[in-house]
Amino acid sequence: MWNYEKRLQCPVSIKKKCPKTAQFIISQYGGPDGELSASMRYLSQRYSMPYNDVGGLLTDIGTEELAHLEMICAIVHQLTDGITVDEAKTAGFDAYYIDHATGVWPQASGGVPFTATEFQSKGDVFADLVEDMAAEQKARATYENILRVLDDDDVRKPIIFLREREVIHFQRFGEALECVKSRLDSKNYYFFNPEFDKQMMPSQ
Amino acid sequence: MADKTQLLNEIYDTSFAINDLTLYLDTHPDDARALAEFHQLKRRRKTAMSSFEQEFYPLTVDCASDRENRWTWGDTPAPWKGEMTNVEL
Repeated sequence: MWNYEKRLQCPVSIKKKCPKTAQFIISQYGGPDGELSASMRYLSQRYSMPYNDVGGLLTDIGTEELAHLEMICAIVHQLTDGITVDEAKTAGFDAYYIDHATGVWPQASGGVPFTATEFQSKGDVFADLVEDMAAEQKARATYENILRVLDDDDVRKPIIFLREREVIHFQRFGEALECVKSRLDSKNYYFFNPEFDKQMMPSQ
Repeated sequence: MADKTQLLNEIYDTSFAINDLTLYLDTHPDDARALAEFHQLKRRRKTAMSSFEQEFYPLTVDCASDRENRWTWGDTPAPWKGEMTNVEL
């Protein structure tokens, strides 16, 4: 289960409204490499993970991703809360405004709704951990794309923090993958799946 | 009275360090130095959380209404509103 702590992982305090910025940052909530798909990916994959410590890592990172989507939503909310009708007509934000006003809803910046097809839970430890590492790199790249077009420091600071966390998570998943490899049967050099074919997991 | 921003900064700093160390310890469970640091940070966070709740408002439901006969959990500002303006991480 989860307990809620009433604060953000890293503070978000934005003074200047900007619906245009909100419209592209929302992608890190509901877009293809966003925080919602990150948390659902790790929290789904952990159930069939054959190693308790790797399941624990997926839980801890999946939990942190929930705190990240909360930060992204806080950024979107603060960039749009209290905007005028004229501001709502900003190119890019106008279509979003018609469906959601200033409510926060998970979609990609291009308008595609959040979908579970953005992530996998393959039931295969190698497929899953390699996907997780790729996911962290894709999210890092998206944050870098965002940072290139942002000049407001109030928005940049939390985005820089989130980008750094992708780097750390990539590192931790890489360590978990190496650890899983080291526990395989020495004849299993093609990485048959120990998650389903339990005989491939002699160390347990 | 304790300084609110100073306490919040301590809470944000120690909590983040604990988050990060947790992931590190998940893949390096035998690192004694990291473990010692984890224990130290945990103590600091606990002290700061408890002082903050006594002086201001609860951040977790465990401490809600500890000193009062009314429900205080709703007194805590919504985290997404950006009211913790002076806190830096």
